[in-house]
Amino acid sequence: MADRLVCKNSSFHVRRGEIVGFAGLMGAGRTELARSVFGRSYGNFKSGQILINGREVTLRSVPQAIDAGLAYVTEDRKSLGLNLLDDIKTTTVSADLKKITNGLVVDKDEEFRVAEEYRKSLRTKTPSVNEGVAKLSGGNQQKVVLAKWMFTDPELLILDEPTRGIDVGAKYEIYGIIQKLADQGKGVIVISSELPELLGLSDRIYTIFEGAITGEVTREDANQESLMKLMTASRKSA
Amino acid sequence: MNSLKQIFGGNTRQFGMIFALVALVVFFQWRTGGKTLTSVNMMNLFNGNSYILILAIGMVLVIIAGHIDLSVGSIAAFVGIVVAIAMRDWGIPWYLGVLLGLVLGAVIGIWQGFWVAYVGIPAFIVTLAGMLLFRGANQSVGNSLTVPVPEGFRYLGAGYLPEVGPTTGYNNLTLLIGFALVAFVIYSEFRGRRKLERIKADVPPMWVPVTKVVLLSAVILYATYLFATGRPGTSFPVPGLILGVLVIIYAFISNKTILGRHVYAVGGNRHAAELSGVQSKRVNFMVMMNMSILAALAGMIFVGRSTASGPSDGVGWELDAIAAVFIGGAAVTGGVGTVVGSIIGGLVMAVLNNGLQLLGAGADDTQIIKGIVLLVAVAFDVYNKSQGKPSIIGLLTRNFGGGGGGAKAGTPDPRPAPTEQAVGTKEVISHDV
Repeated sequence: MADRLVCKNSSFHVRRGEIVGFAGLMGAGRTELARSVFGRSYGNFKSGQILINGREVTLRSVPQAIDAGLAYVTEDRKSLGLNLLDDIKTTTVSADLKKITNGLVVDKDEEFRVAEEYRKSLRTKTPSVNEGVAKLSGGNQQKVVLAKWMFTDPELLILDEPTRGIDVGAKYEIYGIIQKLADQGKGVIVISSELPELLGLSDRIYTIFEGAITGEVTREDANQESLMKLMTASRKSA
Repeated sequence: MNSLKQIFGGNTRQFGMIFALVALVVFFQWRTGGKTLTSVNMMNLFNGNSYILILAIGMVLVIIAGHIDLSVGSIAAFVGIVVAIAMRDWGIPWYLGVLLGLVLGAVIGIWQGFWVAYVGIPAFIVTLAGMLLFRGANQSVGNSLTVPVPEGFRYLGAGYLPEVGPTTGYNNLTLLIGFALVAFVIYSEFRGRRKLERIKADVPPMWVPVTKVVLLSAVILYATYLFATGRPGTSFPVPGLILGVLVIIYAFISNKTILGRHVYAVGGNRHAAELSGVQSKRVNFMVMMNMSILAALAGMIFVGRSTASGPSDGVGWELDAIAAVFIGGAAVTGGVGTVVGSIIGGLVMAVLNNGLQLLGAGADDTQIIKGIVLLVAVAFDVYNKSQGKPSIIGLLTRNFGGGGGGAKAGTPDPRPAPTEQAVGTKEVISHDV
């Protein structure tokens, strides 16, 4: 099997407090691009650099990426985002266990407290944080995943299709959470196939086609038609 | 019945597995006319099964991480023969022999862990190869002969706690361990109670923990009495002591440390764990290596007990250890299981074995019954899962100091994921911007 370059010539930036949309068709290489940034967790690394606050960082693995303040919420919640055997409290703290560990021991009181805090602030609908995540609906599962990444205190959150398979009410709540994260000064990247969603949320939108970024549009200039043209690269633009 | 429920309350599940074990002991005690609960028999039970239980500790971690290890019996035999020959030919003292065995176990573990974790060959294949390889190595090194081991080494597998202090008619060290355990039971019960009060949960009335502590203490003290009053020169067996220490250490690691959490995470969903910052290769490497070290220890204990290392030591041990782990509530698919559950699973098998022997059943009948027990225990669990009820064995062992060893997701997601609705989205957008 020949090697295939899935991402190329893709350069983008995210400011603090900004929501940046990544628009592209399925298979355009959006997830691949995001995961390449997130600790090179996709494919084999060829070349590229990451600057955080103007300083170059090398993120060879997911733990390094997490330490550098990156978070990546996967597109596929059930097979990549969650351990369906776990309960809510275990999942909430799972990406940053060091934070609730004193010396050697995981502090279970603290774990419960943290999970309870996120349950309340994200309004996850569950009788208790001891409940298994498999029992939750898609929207509430997504809230648990968001809580897990918010707990790592990231500077940049990459949300891959954050509202896929989620009912309308929960979608609305998740948009609210995304806005709130940006208001707190975090950078947010939203990858989505739904143009109305991106147009509503994003401050800027990059379009991706066949593994390369084909355009950058501000919210004022963006509309479904112009985005779709860039996403299918029928017209190149800066 | 109601008061029983109050004593064990939400912890009925926690005690369920122990109830099964107690029922088995009582049954055999009755059928054998009191031969089961005697000092000699209890010591035999511990001496003769501690090495399988030690293997079960390592095996449950391997199985939680989603692998299996078929090579433990051969590794135990190989380490046993190397250590026996080293002590005979080089004249090294027994404690250096033990050290040599553990180091050899670690080296073998690095070998197997490398193939499983970093090359990515399924553990089933790697350890199947290891099973053949190390069995052959055992027979090649030892020329298929039996090599005796020195006296000091035998203490490891067949020794008893020594007599110290004033003459009390009992073994003092055994008494000390028994009393320390009772003290720990009382302490942890009241510590848990204080915690409940602190987070303002429902605190059961005072007589509930008191009865619980009294019952548990009675069992511990009775066992202590049995072990402390054996024939002169016997007391609590050394292999039992090693086992006890290992259980405490590994229950702690699997339940309370980051490494333990990571083992459960990798077994539950490897890709999700990796994307949450778990270095799954390192975790897999660690569990495989740890298993080989424990196999080496088990092999040495067995050699100490049988006073010599032979070419067919450890045949079939892997299967006994795996059976103990699955009776103890682990899932074949990984992510579920507890250390203490596996020990109880192993004890159920051991008591069955022992009781049937006392009843005079032949090895053939014993194997048939053990096979049926394994099948029925797991079938019962699978049936309950398929009925949408939570897994019984999983529930039973859930609170056994084993962390995520909870019931496997019982019910499927009640709501199928709704399809995306553009209308709703638009409405929301206009709100949000």
